[in-house]
Amino acid sequence: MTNKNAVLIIAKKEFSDKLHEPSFLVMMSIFMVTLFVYTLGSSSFSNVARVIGVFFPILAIALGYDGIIKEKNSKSLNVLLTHPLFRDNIITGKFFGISITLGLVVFISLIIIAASDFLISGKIVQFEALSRLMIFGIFTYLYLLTFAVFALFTSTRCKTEIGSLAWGVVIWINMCFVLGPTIIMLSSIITGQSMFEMTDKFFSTGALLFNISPIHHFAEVTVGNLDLSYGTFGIQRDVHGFLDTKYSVSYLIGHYWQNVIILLALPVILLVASYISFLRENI
Amino acid sequence: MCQNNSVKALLLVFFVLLSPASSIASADWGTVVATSETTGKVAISGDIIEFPITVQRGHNSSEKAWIGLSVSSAPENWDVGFYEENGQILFLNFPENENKKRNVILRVKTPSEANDGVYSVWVNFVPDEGDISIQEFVVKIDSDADINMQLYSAIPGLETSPAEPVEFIVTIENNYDHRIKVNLDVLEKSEDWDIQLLEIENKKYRITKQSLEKNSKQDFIVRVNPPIDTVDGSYTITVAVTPENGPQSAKETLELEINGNIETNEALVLIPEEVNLILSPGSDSEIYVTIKNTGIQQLENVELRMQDVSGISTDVRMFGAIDKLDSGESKEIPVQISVRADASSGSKDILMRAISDTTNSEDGTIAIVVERSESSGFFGVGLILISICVLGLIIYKFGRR
Repeated sequence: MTNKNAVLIIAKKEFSDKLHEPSFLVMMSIFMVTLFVYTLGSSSFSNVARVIGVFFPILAIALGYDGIIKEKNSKSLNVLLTHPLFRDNIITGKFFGISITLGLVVFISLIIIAASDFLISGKIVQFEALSRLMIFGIFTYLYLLTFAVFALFTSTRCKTEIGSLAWGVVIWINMCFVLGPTIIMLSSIITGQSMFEMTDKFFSTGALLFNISPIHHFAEVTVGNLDLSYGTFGIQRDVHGFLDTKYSVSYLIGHYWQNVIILLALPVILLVASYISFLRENI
Repeated sequence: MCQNNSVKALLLVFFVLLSPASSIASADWGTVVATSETTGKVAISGDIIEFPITVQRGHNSSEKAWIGLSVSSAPENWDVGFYEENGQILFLNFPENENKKRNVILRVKTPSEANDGVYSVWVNFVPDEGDISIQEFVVKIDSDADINMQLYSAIPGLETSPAEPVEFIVTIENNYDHRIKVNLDVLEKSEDWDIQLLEIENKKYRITKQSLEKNSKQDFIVRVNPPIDTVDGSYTITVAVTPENGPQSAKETLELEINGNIETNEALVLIPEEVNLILSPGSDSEIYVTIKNTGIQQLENVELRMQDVSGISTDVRMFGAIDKLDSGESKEIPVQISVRADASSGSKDILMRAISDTTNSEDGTIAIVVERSESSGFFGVGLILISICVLGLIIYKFGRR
């Protein structure tokens, strides 16, 4: 048995388990209904992006928080390690299993929502709009994958599933609710100015600090906003993300390349952290 | 005695016939002769008077000939000279075999300070061979002479509403045989009314003087701006042209009927590129709406305003208002019309209006028919079925049994 096969078998096993779990259908239903309500009921797509950016990370965390810890606590990990495979095969397999499940949820949901929209509204099907929706799906997937892989990381560090989930929730709350107001406060301390003074110095400092927030990069590439979380400020730019059909995709890639790279790099960095953490784990 | 008287009479006739001074319009004989049908004119001081003179060979000859033209006597300070097409002349040559008549003008410029009276100008026509002809031309300066000009309008009566300017076209007709310069004035008008006498070509410049060729006509515009508080009724405006050097004027009275209930012409007109659009939910279209200033005055701060209706939004793509829109000028304004995805089917009218600081257009409409795309329904159903099939297949293939 090659390592490649071992990874695929573990990924397939993880994917099968996720499909079988009632939480998969629950998550998919929540995802779809929320998107459906916001897509058809909201006048602005930034509201849809906000709901995805703020609330959906918890669904992604739910996919990965028990990835390793469940195997560890049920002692099946010990049995698994008696087979000729390595720890990195296990973590890679888990990663692919979670990634495929998340991809299935995101893209099937988006396709069904888009299809319902066409069916209900009767609007014209345009390839440009469909392609931008798929690009939006890719960035949504990468953004949520960051949280799913972080949950996988906590599952390698924590002793219990509750502990892993709690860490995930703490990070989610901090990233999606606390970080925005914190950055406003930090910007005020650094610049000595209030947000209400509306100075360029304050906003440029805030924009710089927002680079540490995944939701900032998601907000930039999807709707061209500085931030989507509640209790913070958003600066609407001239370019409204990849959904702005006034600009070509190639132009938007050039415009948002830094945000795109960070969204691609974050899951990889967290996966590497999970590797290191799992390899150093005393099982 | 009777015989003596007859002899004296014959001698007198003989003497008169032979005398150069008695040749009134032409010489009895000469290689070239000059004749003039008009030898006396009435003018006012300062006028330029022209006497046409015809010069031709005295008899058929194939030889070359010439005639000298000179002024022998003229009142002091009077400019007198002979002119042909190319300017002032002293001699006229007739080449060999050339028998065509030549037209010459005796131009007399009277001084503006000349007193009323009868003045004579004596001229000599001296052919190369033959008799010298001496001719008298008489000019009567009469400051009370009737002006030989006309001032009239083909449409001397108009109707308008208060604050709505109107324009009369008035014609000056110069019946003099010479160029004349006249002053243009408004002799009579209602108080506080703005009357402008404008050049016909571009309506840009106000004119105060007009120079006219002999026997010519010239139009000009009388623009009348009745104030907004003008009471309904009939008003007269009298315009006059007065030659620079004469007291007499030619006048024309124009009548303007002010009627507050008259339907006014809109100065701003909206011309949409499309008045009917068929759009599907979620789609959009860009059209151009032309704003035209059909009035006669420049309009300032002109902008296009559109009223959104349920499910349809409009975006007027212009940077603020148009600062100035000249009379007759038009601008194209792009307008993005977007139909929301949840817009209901049916026809909806978008109202639009152009406004400026002083006026606004009539409301225009663009009818938007929202039609659901049949193909998108099939597409939606197809996508849902495919998604469900894919999901089912994945669960069937990978789901734990």
